[in-house]
Amino acid sequence: MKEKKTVSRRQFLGQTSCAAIGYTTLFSSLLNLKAFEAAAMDNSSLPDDYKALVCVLLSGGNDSYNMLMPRTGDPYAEYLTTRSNLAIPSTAMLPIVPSSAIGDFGVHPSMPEVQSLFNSGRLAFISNVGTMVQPTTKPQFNSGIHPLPLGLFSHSDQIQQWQTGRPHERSATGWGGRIADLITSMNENQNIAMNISLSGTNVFQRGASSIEYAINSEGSLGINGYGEGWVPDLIRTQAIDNMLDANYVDIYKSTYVNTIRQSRDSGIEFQAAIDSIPEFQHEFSEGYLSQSFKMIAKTIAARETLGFTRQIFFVNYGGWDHHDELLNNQAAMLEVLSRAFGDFNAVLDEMNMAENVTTFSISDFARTLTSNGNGTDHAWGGNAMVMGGSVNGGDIFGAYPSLAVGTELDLADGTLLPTTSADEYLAEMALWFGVSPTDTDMIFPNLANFYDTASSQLPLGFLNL
Amino acid sequence: MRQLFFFLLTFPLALKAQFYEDYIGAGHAEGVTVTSSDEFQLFGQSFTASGANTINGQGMDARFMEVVRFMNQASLGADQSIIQEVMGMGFEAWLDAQADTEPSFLHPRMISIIDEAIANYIAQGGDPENYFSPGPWHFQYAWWQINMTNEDLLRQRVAYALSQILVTSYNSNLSDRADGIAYYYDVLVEHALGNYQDLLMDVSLHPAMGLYLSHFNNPRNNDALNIHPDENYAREVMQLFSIGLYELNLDGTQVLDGTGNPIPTYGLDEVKELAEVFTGLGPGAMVPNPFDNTPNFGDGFYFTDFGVPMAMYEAWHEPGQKNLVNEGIVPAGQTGIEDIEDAIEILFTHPNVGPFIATRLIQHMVKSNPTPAYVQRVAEIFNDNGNGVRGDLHATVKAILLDDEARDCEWISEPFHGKLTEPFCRYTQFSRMSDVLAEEERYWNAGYAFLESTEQAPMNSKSVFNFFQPTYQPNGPIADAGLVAPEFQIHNSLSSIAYMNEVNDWTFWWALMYSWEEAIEPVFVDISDLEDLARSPEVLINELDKLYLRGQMSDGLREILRTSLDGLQGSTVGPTYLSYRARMAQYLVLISPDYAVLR
Repeated sequence: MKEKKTVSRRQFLGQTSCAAIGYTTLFSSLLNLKAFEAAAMDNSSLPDDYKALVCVLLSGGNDSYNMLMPRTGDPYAEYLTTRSNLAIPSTAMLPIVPSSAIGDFGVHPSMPEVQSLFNSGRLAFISNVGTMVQPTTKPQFNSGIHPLPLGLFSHSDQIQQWQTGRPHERSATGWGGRIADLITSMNENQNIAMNISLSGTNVFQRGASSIEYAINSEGSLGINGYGEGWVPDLIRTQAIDNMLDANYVDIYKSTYVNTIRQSRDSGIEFQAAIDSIPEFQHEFSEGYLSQSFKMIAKTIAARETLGFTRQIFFVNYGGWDHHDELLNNQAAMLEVLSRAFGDFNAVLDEMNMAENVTTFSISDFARTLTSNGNGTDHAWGGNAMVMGGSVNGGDIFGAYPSLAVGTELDLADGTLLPTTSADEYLAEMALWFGVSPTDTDMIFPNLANFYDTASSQLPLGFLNL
Repeated sequence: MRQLFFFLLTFPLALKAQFYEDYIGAGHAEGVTVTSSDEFQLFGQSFTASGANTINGQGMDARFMEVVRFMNQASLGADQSIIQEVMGMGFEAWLDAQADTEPSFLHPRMISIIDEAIANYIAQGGDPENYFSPGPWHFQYAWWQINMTNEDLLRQRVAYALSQILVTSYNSNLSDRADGIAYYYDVLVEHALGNYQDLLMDVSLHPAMGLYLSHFNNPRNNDALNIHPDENYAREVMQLFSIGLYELNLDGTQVLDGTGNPIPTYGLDEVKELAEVFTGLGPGAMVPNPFDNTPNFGDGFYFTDFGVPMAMYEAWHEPGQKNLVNEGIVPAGQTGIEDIEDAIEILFTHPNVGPFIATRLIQHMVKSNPTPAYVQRVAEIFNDNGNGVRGDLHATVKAILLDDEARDCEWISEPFHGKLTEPFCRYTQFSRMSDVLAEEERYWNAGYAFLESTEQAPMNSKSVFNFFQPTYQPNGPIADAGLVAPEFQIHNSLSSIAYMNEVNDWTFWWALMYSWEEAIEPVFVDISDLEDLARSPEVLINELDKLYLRGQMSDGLREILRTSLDGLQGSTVGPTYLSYRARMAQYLVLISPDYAVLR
């Protein structure tokens, strides 16, 4: 394994001169730092100096060749044959026509919001994308010596690798966390982590020094009775403070206490800011995913009160492991997903923040194109969605593959070799977010196998910088 | 009013000039007189502070606390009378006796609870036609009823650990099939102290597992229709239930190839071949219904009898030879069940299973980071219990709990020793050890608030990867040291606080357990005994240290408790200050890192 490169904040800022600012300043004066950052961020082209990435993990492995399908001609005929009893007839698909004129496509019938977001240029698809270490052909895959992602087709490994950006190893840090390591000091707020999770602990948002701040769709959680004036609560508060502020030699005890201490420090401040946000005009749908998006929207609305200019959000919407009953179960979940994207986009428009927020989906893998009776099994390359005002929507990026069995991409039973690496997809968002091109190799160590990091072009071009 | 008791030990001069290395509790009571201020008896204990008990060790706290620590590893919780019993028996004898203790099965208990709940529903004026059962909450009632009253403590502890290794969950299409999950849990209970091969076979044929990992109604290859066997179970039975992803040494470390890389135990081909083994299984029997009482391959699971193993439908089973891991071959020309038996045998005899299962069980019961030597000692017993039997779980668990690394005092202070107790076990240990008020000894706990707060209730994992994964490394000193701490995967800024608020509800405000049945009283913590002790804060603190902290209370927590209890006086909180003291002390102990971390 090659040695980790240390990266300074300065490299991240890249375009700005900051020679006058040393680390003494960084640690000794937050006020100076804020002034510096304000200057550093001035060259952002966005109306409001704020950017957020929202990562939606579809854990379990979304069968995304039933989310985005060819709708006419030979590609559709191949789709029908291969998917057999799982194929969705073209008449039921919601039609879309990518702007790059690569043919007629359809989205799943239960995703009208996604269709309309695509048509209005707010949403793009990335096709046949998967975790990869190097470009790989079928003979290379079968050679036994070509570098491949660890634990291919295994949920735990593939979920992990989409989040870590390190498919060649089992990494304990994620690419969102490593970005936070670099730039968290840009945020005025240093009590609350810039990485906010609606789904608890996750590796995506964990860096060497940063960790997620977990909230739920109601916001943060306070310690009952803490900070209240009743005598037992005064005593409780003092006792908890003493307990949390003590030093523990025991590594398990110190880790246990650190989490609670950080949460105590964040919770009251966070909730007060959230509670001050008026209700949105657009009403979010009921249910976990839309309500999670609502809390993300509120957090974005509270960005100035809270003092954030860069945030990364994470929400896990699980249950996609449709080995069984694929047609019914996936339809219900795609409907929820589509509606949540629609709701979120509507509210970002309401706030005039659509250009500042990029929302994207990841999933363990797509599933075998062929059926196992009434479901599908773990496969590899699949289709992802990215939404936002900075997205070059209305198109499909990355080559949409032939869905015939026995092609040079078909490893077995319609397990497709990805033709676009997850690194290209994810790194483009990191670049949009502000990661300097020279730092991308630290965040995505295999990116250079797919993309010239010195290039003036973006890896796939689905975002406007 | 009870007084703080103290002993006056009088050693007569005429000790017959006999000198030996002795200690209090060794039992050499002859010629020793002990008097105490009264015949003090601790609440719930059968032993008094009589002179004889002081000398024979049964009145001694040190031994008591040692047993509490042991039971925190070996059970889901134990009350004081159980602690006394284990003190009397000794660890090994207790562990052996547990093998012969009658198992408490969940499904029958759930059925009897449902009967009682329906009677209650009718008594409240409800129409039994409108009463839904069995629901997941009935499963939880039965789980708690058993684990608050059972004697098969070791078996239930191991079964619960197995439920986190061989996972099925309500978070699936089993969401309203409490009967299926209850029958499945009973397979874990049945084999918890039995043989791992039997367990693996019964799990593989269980309809709940078949539904959860989708090898129920899994047909053979159909090339014309582009249909291939479902690979879900084949993959997970290897990755999670038996051999894991990489070749292991006997001590649990990975075997490395010439370039220092781990060696995968299987590839795509082995998964596909094993998937063929698990084809042809369908319903074994139907529950009586007005439509179709003959089980057939492809029948939906709605009327499947989950109490009967899946049956093999040969026409749907993939024929031919299957080449599995470790060069194991399932020969052509066999019945489907023979194929499965062979495949399970091949997995079970893979050299990985011993260190793989040893590591999992040690992590659940004793410590997150066992030394390779400890894993190896346990794996050796798994491989051969001394009588040539492989996979003996009772022998394996005994080896885990009696190992020096679990028992010897010097290990307690080793920096990486111990583990975070998972939130759910903090709940069960507290519930079982504490005095509670339970009407008619009914412990019907839906556990829903706790599940919402901490992500934990039995059989409610979000995925087959359990609540937390064995390789999870939280940031900070644990990851820095290259260690793991699985339970921290569900300890985050939300759940850590939510657990504290649960404790607040148990101790200050509301119930410890509650059902969803009308007119069934919740279970409350009974602090009356602790209130008596609270007159003297130091006595209360010592008692909580003994009951909940294994006598390992840190000086820091002791000081926090002293200050806090001192502030709760009649003059500050009124005449019920003793109640506040007892509650506050329990609350602070239960949220403390001393309680959360088992060393």
